[in-house]
Amino acid sequence: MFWSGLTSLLRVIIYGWVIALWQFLKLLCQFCRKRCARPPKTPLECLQIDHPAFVRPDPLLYSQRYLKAHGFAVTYNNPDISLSKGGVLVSSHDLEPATTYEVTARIWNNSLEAPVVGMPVHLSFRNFGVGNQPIPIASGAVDVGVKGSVTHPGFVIIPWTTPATPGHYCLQVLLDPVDDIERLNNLGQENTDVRKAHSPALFEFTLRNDTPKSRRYHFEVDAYEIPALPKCGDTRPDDAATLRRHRPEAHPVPAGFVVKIEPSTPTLDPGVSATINVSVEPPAGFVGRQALNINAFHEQGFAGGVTLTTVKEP
Amino acid sequence: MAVQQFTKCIEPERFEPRSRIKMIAMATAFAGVFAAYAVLTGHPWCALFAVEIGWCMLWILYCENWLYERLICIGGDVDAIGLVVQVDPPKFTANLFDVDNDYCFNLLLQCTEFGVQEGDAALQNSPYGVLIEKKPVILALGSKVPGYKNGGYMVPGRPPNSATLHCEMEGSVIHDYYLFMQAMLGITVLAFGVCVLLPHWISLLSWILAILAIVIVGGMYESQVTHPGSPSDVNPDIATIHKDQDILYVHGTWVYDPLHDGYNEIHPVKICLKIGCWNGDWTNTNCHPENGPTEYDKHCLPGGGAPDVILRLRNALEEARADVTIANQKLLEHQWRFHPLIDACDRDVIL
Repeated sequence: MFWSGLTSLLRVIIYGWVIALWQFLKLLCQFCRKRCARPPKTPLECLQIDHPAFVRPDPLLYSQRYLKAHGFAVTYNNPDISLSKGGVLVSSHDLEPATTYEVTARIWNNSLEAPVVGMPVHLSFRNFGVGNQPIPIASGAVDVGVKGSVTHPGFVIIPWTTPATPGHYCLQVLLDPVDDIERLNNLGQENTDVRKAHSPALFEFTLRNDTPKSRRYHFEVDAYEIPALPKCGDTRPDDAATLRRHRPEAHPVPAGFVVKIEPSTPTLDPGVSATINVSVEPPAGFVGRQALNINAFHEQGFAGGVTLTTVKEP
Repeated sequence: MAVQQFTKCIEPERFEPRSRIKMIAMATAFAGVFAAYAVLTGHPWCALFAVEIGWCMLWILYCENWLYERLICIGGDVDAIGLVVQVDPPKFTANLFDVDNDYCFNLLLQCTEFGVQEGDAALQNSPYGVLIEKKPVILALGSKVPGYKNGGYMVPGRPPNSATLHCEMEGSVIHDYYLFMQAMLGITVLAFGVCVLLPHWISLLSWILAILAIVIVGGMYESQVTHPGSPSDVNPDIATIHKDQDILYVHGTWVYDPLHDGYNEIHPVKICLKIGCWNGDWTNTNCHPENGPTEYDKHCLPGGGAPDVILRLRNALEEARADVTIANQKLLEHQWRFHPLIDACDRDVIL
């Protein structure tokens, strides 16, 4: 022990102190940077912790409400929710009554450090529209590895037998982790309808006031569909440009399309529903499919929405 | 995954109890050589540097003991699940030799109830009870260590006393001091050389440098000890540990700390995850108890057996720390913030 101590001491005196000084100055710089970035102190609860050993997951799926809160346009044709029957993909607007489908939810994790294991995932359905009450279907559990791992994303499959009453339903997937860095991106909806345009295409959906106060609603329409991702180059793409591609103003209703919403500014008491009629008149000569997102807002902000696809065959 | 670890445990057969007298003697002997040289060569004022050299030396010995010769290894890395029953965050202390800024908490181990004692069958039969049992390798050290006074960490001031597992997440202050004192020792020895070899005005300069270095240590002391981290730091991952509410999974090194009152502990905690909520017993730790027990609860349910969820969690954490995962995380396609279909990029996959 004496000799090892002596060796260690000689090392420190000859060159170790220079290395230590360098590491120490680096630590000091790190600390100064951290301190400069620190906002004014808030009352300290002694049980809070920001030690790197305490890791937190961030499970998520395509969540319209979360993305809308960040100013993005959204589609209700949720890329993370799919339906299949006997292994064949089925569109959510074209379901048969009293039939069992498999609902697959794809779950991501935005944490580099904390996986989620056995996380409950709740599936429910609602009548097509905005603000309708969800009716629980079933729950499943999913494991999702950290971002960049082989077990990321995770998938959960939950069987769903549609109601015997014919109708148009939308699906809702809710992630229910024990701990989560961001809880606002845990709810995703699949809320679409497709109609052929018989000059015009006519849609209807239910708007329900699911808040405790009377609300006056209005609608905003865009033609957003998730664009293809840019190719990865050698450098990180410009964040601002990437995000601009998803702003509502970048996806106006195409020229020539006439969208009418009736009533356009309904006022609803708590718990009260109204049927909203939407007519979409494509321009003359239009052939193909055009998806339009109808987003409902009230005085307190975003209420929900639906994606309506107009189809015109040649 | 960044693991904040500064200590290394020592094997029981290599362990020697800490002796402050021995440290002071070594530091004095070392500084004495410099003092004697200064006096004998006719530079008595330069002998004052020897005081600083001795002080640095003492600190280096203290920190080395704290970091590398104090904790006694019991059995490598282990994991445990438990309810947080006490939290002891780092606090300011004016005692220079007690500047530890570790974040400590104590866990009531899974499947054991409040009031459990070390000899209880419930603890012995619990999945992680073995972690707080008396270990023969520690008992064999005899009077070198305080032994096991209580059996597990007894949470004070809240009846009934319960045998719990002590866990510590390491703060950096001792390691920072260790670095600083090494740097200081080098600078002071250099200043001593300047003092005895060069004219007096240069010697004065070396004094100024030495004083500046002391000022820096003051800053370091303030920064690391009086500010051990707060929730108002800019950190999106900030979390709160709720005492008597949160069920945690912890993974770390299983050691015995002879400077404590005699119990095994996990030190340092390398990974800590919240996995459930306390609803009064271990049969249902679901944060929404109406949804029924979680997979983790099978351990404590009659006939439940060991659930495979622990193995899945261990595998997932291992995968998170794998080199290939860490390399993947640096790729551009994984730099998204909102959703991979919104702000990621697409790379052609060559099959």
